[in-house]
Amino acid sequence: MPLLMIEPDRAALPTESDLVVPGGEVRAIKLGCGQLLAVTDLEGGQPAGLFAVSDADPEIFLSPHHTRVFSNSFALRLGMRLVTNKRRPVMVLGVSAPHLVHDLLMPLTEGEPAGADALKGRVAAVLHEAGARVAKVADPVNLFLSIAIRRDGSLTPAGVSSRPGDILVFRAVMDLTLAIAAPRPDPRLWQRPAPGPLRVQVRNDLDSIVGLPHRE
Amino acid sequence: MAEAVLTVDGGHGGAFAVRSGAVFALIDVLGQQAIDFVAFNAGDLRETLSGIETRRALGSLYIKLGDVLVSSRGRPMLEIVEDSIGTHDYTVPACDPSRFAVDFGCPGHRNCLENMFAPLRAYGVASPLDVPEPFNFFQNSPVVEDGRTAVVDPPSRPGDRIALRALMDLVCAVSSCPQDIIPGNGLRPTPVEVRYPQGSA
Repeated sequence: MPLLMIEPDRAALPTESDLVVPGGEVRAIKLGCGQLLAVTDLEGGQPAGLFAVSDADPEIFLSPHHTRVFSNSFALRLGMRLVTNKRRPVMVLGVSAPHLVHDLLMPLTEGEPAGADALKGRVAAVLHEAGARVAKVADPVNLFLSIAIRRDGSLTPAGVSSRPGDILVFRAVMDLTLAIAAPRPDPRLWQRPAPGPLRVQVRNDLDSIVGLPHRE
Repeated sequence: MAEAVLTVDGGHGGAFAVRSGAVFALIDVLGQQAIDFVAFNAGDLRETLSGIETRRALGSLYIKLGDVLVSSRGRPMLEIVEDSIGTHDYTVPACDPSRFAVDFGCPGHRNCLENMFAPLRAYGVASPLDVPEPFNFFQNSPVVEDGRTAVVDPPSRPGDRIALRALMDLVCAVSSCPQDIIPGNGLRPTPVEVRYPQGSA
């Protein structure tokens, strides 16, 4: 495991991997405890829908709703733990530039009048193909999506916060299968002529992540 | 049509069914009591009341008189037709066994998820995973600053009520939230009532 344990893990490090999620599609990838997940918006202005299910128990999955309550925050912020439906940590958002905003409140309907079921069906399919057992497809964590939250409770879509090449890095603390969506626009929440691609990297050390800004 | 009354003890749960068009009321009998509430399309239990879809539709963290609450398929499911208080939440998940066992070191505590799932089994709901995220009537979860939140005690007084019109045939469940460790119910769960048309379902 690529974490600084008192008793170092002698087992081989978990597999590193790369993929590109084409605009409008969903892809799955494995992420081991201790590994780093990097998500890059290659063109800018494209949200990423993040879903995760525990490899140990299909009834344990990433929950945006429990993540909000765990940190008393309606939005995902740098340093926050993303947690499961049982409120145990899944991963931590460790790199996110100050201009980036991430949503924990909205569905990914892609503008479909029947809601998010169609996208969730595609998420279930790619998770299953990747070998995950899927008991339920939870709601997404919407990376880069900006929803302005005011004291009066109003939620105002504020576009997509990412610019070309913007990158996020998470540290996983659980063995997971992820699904990452590059959804089509939802006219009610964000506009974009066509969905753009996302780069996903799973790494055992920070230095091998492509596109990560150098530490000052 | 005669009125049925479902009385739920403090910290317990119950379920009921209503036909499309029926108006039913949820009542905080003694005040300061959050009522978790979920609803299913009685004809297809896979379609549920959805907080996340309702947020997209309403563009607000708060709900008010006249608002239409929508289903997981984006369809109108309920309309708020009466509201004596105007303070409700639909962002906080139901408390569950791990909430008390892990977060408070108190395994075996009553919880909203099991309070609602147990009576829903008689209506065909097969798993706690099938119980959707709840609407928490009378729960007070204000936006405090910079998009952050907190849960504080409800301002509801004895007899405060919210009434909803069913826009499709529904199976519903409620829980008098049993949280008695942190603020949310004034540290004392109390009874709630549901009044609905008898024989409407």
